[in-house]
Amino acid sequence: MSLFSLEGKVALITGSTKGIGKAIAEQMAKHGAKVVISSRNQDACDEVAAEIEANGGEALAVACNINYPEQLQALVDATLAKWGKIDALVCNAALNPFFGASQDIPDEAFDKIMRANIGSVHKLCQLVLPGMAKAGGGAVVIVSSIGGLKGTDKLGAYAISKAADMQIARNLAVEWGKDNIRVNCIAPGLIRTDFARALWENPEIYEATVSKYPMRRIGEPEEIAGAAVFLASAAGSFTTGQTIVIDGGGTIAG
Amino acid sequence: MVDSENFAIADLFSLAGKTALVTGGSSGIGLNLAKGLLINGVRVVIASRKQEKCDEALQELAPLGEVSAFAADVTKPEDRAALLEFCGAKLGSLSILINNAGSNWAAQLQDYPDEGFDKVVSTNLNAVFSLTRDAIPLLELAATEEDPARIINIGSMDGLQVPIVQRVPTFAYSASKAALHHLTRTLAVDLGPKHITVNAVAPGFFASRMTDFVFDKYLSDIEDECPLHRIGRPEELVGIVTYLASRAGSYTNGTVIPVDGGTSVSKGKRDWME
Repeated sequence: MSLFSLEGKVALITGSTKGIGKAIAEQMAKHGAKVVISSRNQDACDEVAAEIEANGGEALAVACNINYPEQLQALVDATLAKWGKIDALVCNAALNPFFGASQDIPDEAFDKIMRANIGSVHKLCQLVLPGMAKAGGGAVVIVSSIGGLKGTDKLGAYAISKAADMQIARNLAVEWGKDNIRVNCIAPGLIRTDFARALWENPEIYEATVSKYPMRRIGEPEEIAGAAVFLASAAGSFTTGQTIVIDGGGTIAG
Repeated sequence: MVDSENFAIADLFSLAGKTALVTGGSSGIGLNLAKGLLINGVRVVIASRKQEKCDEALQELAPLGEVSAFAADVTKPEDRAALLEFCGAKLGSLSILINNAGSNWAAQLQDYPDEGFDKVVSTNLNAVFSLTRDAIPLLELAATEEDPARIINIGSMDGLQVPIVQRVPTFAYSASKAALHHLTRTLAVDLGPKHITVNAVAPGFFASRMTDFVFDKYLSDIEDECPLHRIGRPEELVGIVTYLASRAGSYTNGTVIPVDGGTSVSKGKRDWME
């Protein structure tokens, strides 16, 4: 189906050795893209890249800690050295080192969340977008969260960083639209990943959680990956500056 | 769940074997959506008020797949009932309902008549509610937890924000589309447990009968206000509808997705084009 084809494109996906990021990388590869697999651990990157290649895809494994701008630069450089361009940038890696009230979060944790989650998206876009523009355009997909849409008493700093993703998408959509670059967010709800394991592994907690969701279940990683493929492909070529919420209706019901 | 068969390209965005009703399917956006669905293996019924419009569209659509047309005015209860009976007979069940039929009325505030307002709201909002409610049994026949039935409402960028320059004031249209977006959310919460998702697409400017007269006069202004500096292309609505109707979109529920080149998130006429 050519509308969703990524044939000939290069996609760089951060945080792509597990969960949502891995599903996005797998799906983008299945739809024809060459993919860059990245997370902190080189072995994990190599393993996922090998899986993708075993399934007929093309993958490059580059370890990168999004906390360090020089590592982000190296990630982009390695991609350009190998394939010469980046058509799709997927900013998926994020961290959350603190769970609790805003009153109690240590300065270092707050700074780390802002630097890693917001700063890395900003920096990666600075590094990638000029080249993307020169090559005729492309797509940025930022994996935000429904946490950035509502108030929270436990994940305050993380939620601030996720709300910032949505504003980055709006700003950069306006700034880079003339260069045929589109910038969008996906805001997943609760998805079956390690990140959210505590919320779905225990059947009682699971039932209590999903009973408030219209679809009465949590999402699967591939149900996020589909939106990423859509946004990076010709099918999504008039969609920019937006945040696509994928949560089975959890947010609108709450 | 994660295996190579599930992850096949054809699978994630596949619509093959599904059934769909597209209201307002004889021209513009609706006709293009019908084409997109047919090309991708969906059996389609289109509805439109006038028989001759249905016949014309059918000529264009028939070579693309299994399609039939039914002349119905969705604001009339008897027409809605007949349309759904026709869908039941032709399709057996309904996996996709696309509420696309809409109308518009443009006039300055002092001259805007009550009947114009009523007409627009009754087509764009009331009829969508009634048709959707009455289509639930057919949708339920196709709905499973694994592959929910899908309702896709065609809203509008005008239901998200008021253009800074009110070129042609369309009070009822904007209000009806904003209401349609919220109806989408309300229905999504109600129908989720029945394995039916409800989402809306909010198009910006696309070529249709409704926009021709606007483009004649204002096309360059419209392009200036859009970060991508152009109007939308037909396949860009086929794309979002395919996403929403396929397995890729099966956890997306209660959303309103703008497809407007970024116009609605931009602060207005841009200064960066210079």
